[in-house]
Amino acid sequence: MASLIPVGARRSKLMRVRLGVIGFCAIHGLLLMVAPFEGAGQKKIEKSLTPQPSPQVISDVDTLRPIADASKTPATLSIAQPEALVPMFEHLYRLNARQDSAPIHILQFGDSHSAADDWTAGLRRLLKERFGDGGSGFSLAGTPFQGYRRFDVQGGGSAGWHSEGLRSATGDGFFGIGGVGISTQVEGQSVFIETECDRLEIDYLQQPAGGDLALFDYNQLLERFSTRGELGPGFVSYQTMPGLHRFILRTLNSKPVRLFGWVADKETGVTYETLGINGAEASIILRWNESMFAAYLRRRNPGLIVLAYGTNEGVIGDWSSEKYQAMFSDILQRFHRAVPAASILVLGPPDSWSYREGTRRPSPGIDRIITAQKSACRESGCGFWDTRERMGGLGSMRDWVQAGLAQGDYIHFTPAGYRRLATMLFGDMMRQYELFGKIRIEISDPVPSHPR
Amino acid sequence: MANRRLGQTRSAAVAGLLAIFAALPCASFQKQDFSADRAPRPPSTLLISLQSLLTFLGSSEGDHSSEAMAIKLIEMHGLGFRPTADDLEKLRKASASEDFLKAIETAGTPAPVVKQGRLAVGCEPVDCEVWVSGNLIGTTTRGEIPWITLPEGKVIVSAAKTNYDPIQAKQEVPIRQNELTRVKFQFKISRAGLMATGAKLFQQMRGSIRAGEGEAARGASTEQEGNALRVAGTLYLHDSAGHCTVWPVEAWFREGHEARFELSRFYERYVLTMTATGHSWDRTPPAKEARELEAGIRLIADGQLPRLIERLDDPGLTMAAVDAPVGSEVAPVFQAGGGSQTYRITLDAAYRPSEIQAESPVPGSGLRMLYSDYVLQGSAYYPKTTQIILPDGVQGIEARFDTVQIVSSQNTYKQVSSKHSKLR
Repeated sequence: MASLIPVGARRSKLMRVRLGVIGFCAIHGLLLMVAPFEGAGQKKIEKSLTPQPSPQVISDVDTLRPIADASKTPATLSIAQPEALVPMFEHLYRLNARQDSAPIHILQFGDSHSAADDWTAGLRRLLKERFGDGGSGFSLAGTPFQGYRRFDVQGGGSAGWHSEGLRSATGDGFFGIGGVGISTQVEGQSVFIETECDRLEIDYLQQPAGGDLALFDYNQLLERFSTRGELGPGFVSYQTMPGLHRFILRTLNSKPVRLFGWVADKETGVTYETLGINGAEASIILRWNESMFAAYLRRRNPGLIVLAYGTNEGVIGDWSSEKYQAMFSDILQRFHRAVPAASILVLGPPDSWSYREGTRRPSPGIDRIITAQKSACRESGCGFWDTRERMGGLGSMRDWVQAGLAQGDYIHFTPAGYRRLATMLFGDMMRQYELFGKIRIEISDPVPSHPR
Repeated sequence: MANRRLGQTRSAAVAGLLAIFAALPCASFQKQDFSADRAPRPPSTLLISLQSLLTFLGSSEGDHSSEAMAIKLIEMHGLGFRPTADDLEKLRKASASEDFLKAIETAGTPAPVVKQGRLAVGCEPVDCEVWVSGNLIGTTTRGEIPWITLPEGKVIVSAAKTNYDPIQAKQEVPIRQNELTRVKFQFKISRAGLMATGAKLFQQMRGSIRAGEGEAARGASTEQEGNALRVAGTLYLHDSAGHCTVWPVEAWFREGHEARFELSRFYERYVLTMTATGHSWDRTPPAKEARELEAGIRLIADGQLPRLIERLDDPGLTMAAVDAPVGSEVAPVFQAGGGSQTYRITLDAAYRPSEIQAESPVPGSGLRMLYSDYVLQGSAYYPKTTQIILPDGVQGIEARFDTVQIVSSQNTYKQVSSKHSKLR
């Protein structure tokens, strides 16, 4: 067939195809540059995108659909079991009404979606804007894994530390609240944190032969202390002046030291603390020493615990829905046992695509995971936010990739995409919060105060 | 692990006390207490009445989500009324669900709202234990307990510290809602405290003169048999007329109050040998100078720190720190007294003697011995400069040694003796 077409004609046809592709890319690129990814400008993108499935992608969905608009109220309830958030809403309400100035701590455990700190940074910013800045809260000590970051705190350490825990969670299970510890037996190793706070805490493993540490604020020695003691969770806390600090911890001898993290708090406000581990599945929590984990959780006294797992299980795992639900229920119970007064919100896995038989398709495992998580949350009285549903449903990841809101791996989002997710989740939470405020006023007699 | 530790520290008997502890913010530096150290959240201010529930049910129109939230609020806050069968019937007619009615039936009534205020306690010049209305609430850290939360009303705050007397043992203070009340206690060291501190200062002084640790401790000392302290420098003798005579000197001090001084001036050389029982010159200097030299050298020999410590080791002496003004730290000065002798000893920052003054109402009272420019030799510190000032403040002797070293005294003595024999 190709040989019957004159060479010149073949060339001109090829050229037209090439020009067409280049033209499409150019227009698409131009529109992406001109239109912001969030808000009203999104409409421009939606209009300009015609169904052009990539040659690599088999379309399980009919056409590209509008990406969920953060500013629009979803047709259905966006958070299942919203009453689970009432304890946290109550704290926010009282903080807002100045009935209680105690800070509210929100801990988000999860996988790489959380570890990137884009999604969580978006939520952190929005919550702090509305309810006040409570500091950076808990952050991991040193640089426990490549790419570890927090947008609200600077930290790092010397080269002589090695990490424990992480996604494999192998070892003794003593990994603190974040599932990660850094250890050394070398004198003179240090870690630092630079953040604004008026109260600092250092979480470490207390162990029989534990080494000594010196704590500095800039160059001023604040305290020397030992990590020696009966095996268990250890901490020291330090009350300081409000403002920017650069705390440095240095090992003073060649005895073993394992650090879990820093807690930098302010007198009041909200903290949003990222506890994500790249590649993690929810089940790693069950490999952490429960009594140590519970001790640190109780001490942190969170108002809300957010769990954001499921992508790794859905893409590469072989969980059945029943097994996953049982395992996930165990995790929820573990949190309930440790901090019964805390609200728990589970964020279902986002839509993601993976290769099957040489083509990219929506990961089939995600369905099972979402179903299992939903059921576990219903049973355990936890809130559930269906991320995939809010993205636009099954297969919506392609739309997000096309719109520049997700990365080419069809799993992770771009910073703008994570910000979009944060805005949507915050909006949905605040809608429930407004409803809560209305109900609280209605059932109270007399009305003491109103939320802002 | 930590829970067990916590379990040990918590007992039913002190449950109320720990409730107060739980209200403590972390005192400046806190270690290893897993009880929450933040203030408890204030009690609920939400009162739920039957009428407000009926109003809510009327407006929610059976919305399951709203009702679930209301149930949670009822569980958290309890009800402001005790529901009767009639009340439940009214709620049922207002379309309350079975879950809602069950929550109403099982809800408790709220605890009365307790008005609370905060109390901060400070102590000077030392940390102290603090009691509130008879309950120990903790020990200050760096002079304060930043605050604890207490119910509104008057409380009696007291503070104590071993070896210290409070100027005001108890203070009655009002706790007012949402206000921070500050209380400060000032302490003065007690007589027992002065004696304990004095004994401690003396031990610190002994320890600081002997290097005590590290490489220096492995060095020799004059106490080791056969060793002597050799010094070389200059003696400045001040007479009653204010004249000063300068004598280059080389001296050896040995155990048993033995010492040997070699004094030289131009072509004159004199050797004074001192023992526990007396002294002798190998060649007597002119009578006036001999008397002045003998008296001055005796003071220098007696003022050697090992001899001084030997004297202070007398069990008949009692050590007591010098009293400090109210609210001030005790200075590193102590008195060693007993019988007819009293010494006032001032220590430097490293707890080495910088001045020793005889205060006894006996001849020689007012004698001052000043030590400075310490140098480590072997396992102990020795002053390179010693000044001994007589009570009149004019006469005295100053020894400035350029060389201070530990030597094997037997050989040195022999060599020195033979050397000087030749010279003679």
